[in-house]
Amino acid sequence: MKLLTHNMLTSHVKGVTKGYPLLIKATEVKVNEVEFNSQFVSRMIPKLEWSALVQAAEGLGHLEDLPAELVADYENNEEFLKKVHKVLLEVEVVEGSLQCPESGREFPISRGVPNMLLNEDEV
Amino acid sequence: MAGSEPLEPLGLSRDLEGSEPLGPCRDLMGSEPLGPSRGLTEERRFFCTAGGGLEEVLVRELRTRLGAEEVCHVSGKVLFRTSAGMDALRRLKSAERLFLLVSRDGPVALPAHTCPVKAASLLQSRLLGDGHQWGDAALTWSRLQGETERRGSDGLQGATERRGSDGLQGEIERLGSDGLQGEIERCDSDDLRGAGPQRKTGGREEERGRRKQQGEEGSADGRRSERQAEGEEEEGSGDGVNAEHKRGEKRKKGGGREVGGGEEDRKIMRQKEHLSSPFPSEALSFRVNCKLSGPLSRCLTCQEASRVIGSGLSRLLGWRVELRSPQLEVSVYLSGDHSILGIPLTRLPLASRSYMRTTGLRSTVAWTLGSLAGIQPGWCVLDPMCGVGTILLEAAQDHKDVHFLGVDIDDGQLQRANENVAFADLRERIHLMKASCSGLPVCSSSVDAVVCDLPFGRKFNTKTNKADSLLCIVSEMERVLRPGGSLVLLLSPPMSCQLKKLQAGPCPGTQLPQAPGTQAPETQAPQDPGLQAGPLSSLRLQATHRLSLGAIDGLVHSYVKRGAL
Repeated sequence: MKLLTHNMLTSHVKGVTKGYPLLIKATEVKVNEVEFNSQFVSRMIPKLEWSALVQAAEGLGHLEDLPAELVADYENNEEFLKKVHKVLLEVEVVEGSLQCPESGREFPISRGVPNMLLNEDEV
Repeated sequence: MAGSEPLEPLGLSRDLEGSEPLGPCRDLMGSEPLGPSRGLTEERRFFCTAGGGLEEVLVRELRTRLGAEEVCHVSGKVLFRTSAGMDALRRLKSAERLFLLVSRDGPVALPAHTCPVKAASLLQSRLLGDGHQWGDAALTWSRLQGETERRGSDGLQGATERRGSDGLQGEIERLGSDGLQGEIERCDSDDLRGAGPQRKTGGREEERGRRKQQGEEGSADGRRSERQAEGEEEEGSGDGVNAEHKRGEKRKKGGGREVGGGEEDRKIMRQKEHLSSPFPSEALSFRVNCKLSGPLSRCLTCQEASRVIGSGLSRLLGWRVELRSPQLEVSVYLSGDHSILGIPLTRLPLASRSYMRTTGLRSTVAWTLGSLAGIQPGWCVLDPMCGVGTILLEAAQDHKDVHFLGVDIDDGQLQRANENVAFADLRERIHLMKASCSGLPVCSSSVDAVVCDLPFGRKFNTKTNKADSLLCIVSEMERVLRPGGSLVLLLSPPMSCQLKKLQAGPCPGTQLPQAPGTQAPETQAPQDPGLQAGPLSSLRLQATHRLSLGAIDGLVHSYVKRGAL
């Protein structure tokens, strides 16, 4: 699971009103080099929940000095975009779990794929 | 018609049953030779085969991507003129196969009660034209093959093509330009024919086996594509496949046939040696693959017609009939409406993608769904039932700056999707997760497009009522879609009806259910979405489009979610 995907994920366990952001508990984290595409990164940034990304990156020990607040004029800041690129697309949680902040329900991540499937009684 | 609708963001004309008449291009297609004198950047005429219902999509693709002209279509085929090279042609996404057009004419009409001999001579005189046309076409073909060779663009290029372009040009030039009566005529081509039709299907059998295997591995998706592929091939090869099949079985049993087969081989070898003895690579080897429909098919079989045309061409040009691995293939499509003759330019169909390891939905259909979503840079595109990821893979080939998210509930499918994504080297753009489509783990209004091939009900094993689950699934898609985002669904005909009824249900009088396959203009009055209580009320149907998926038809619905951006 890449942090770009994590940034979109939310928990819909019955009764939960704000299942976001999910807490990452990683047991295996991998960093794969991915070709840098500045267009892609700068188009993704406005869609991100910035604080959730920073929190997730910090939790994994891959903060890459990302600031707590999104910098202005990031489109032209290649150094910054490269950092975001690394956090969004290169850091991957291979094994671990995601925890719903409200209900505490854990969703396992195995071989890089998060399993967000709920049981029937949780829907 | 298709080009005159700039308002369609979806790349489709609203005129679905696309009835562009034969008229406009009949004159253009005549039998003017594809002259070798026009140089390499000349415009050439081609045609592509296309799946049922995809002709319009291909017309649009040809116009926008290749700037093709004189684009027109008949059922299952699109004819066009372009100066684009092989690399661009190979990248066509909604076409099945690509051919160089040799000639296009009206149908061959046979008088009632024509005896086969008469029919044969009529076919030869009506279809073959003069030698120059063929010589020129073969030269153009050879040049295009050379283009492919030089660029080495595709690892899929088979031995046939490689052989084809190997030092052939001079030879063809010689053959194409003058009298063409080679000594090869001594070859009794009919004799070769007799041995051959079974042989030529060997490759198809293999291909079929491969697809079958994939189909078994896959789920609903896989099976659907397999059926489709089979359908096409059955149509394609006529009796040949069965013949080969039986022959293969007999061989396995180790009967006397094997000896016979060996003798045939030796005979052909002898003939080959005989033919090629004075000048190696003397004559261009070819075979004819004929498809018949309409009245002609009641008089002749595909095999008979292929033989007749093959021997006619051999006599006319001195080309050598070679059924197993010819340098060049001649494809002949004869129907009650037209006669189209061409030379295939690729050994494998364009539709078999080099970047796809496991195929689910037919690649051309998958690409079409993505293209209908009007994907823009910076979008996030979700397939909530991605299967092996075919739709996402096709779309990701076209869109670099887009985040694709694939969701499926089945571990096996996800694993194959994962392999596909890795194989296509698209890990940075396509991300996968496991979840149910009825409870997507993403925030509301967070994705820009949802594209999905919904299971057609054969694997849809829910205890609940089908209409309820359809409503539940589509409502969930509606929830995660941002206002202004697009939704493209592939549905079975009953599901298409059901969905329209569901949408119409709660607000009687404002919407009427529409018959499948017809255009569905917007009928709902634009209102504030907040005021509408009905299910799926924020989804505005843009168009529906009927496609053939082999054994069954599918309907593509495309919607835009209403509301402020």
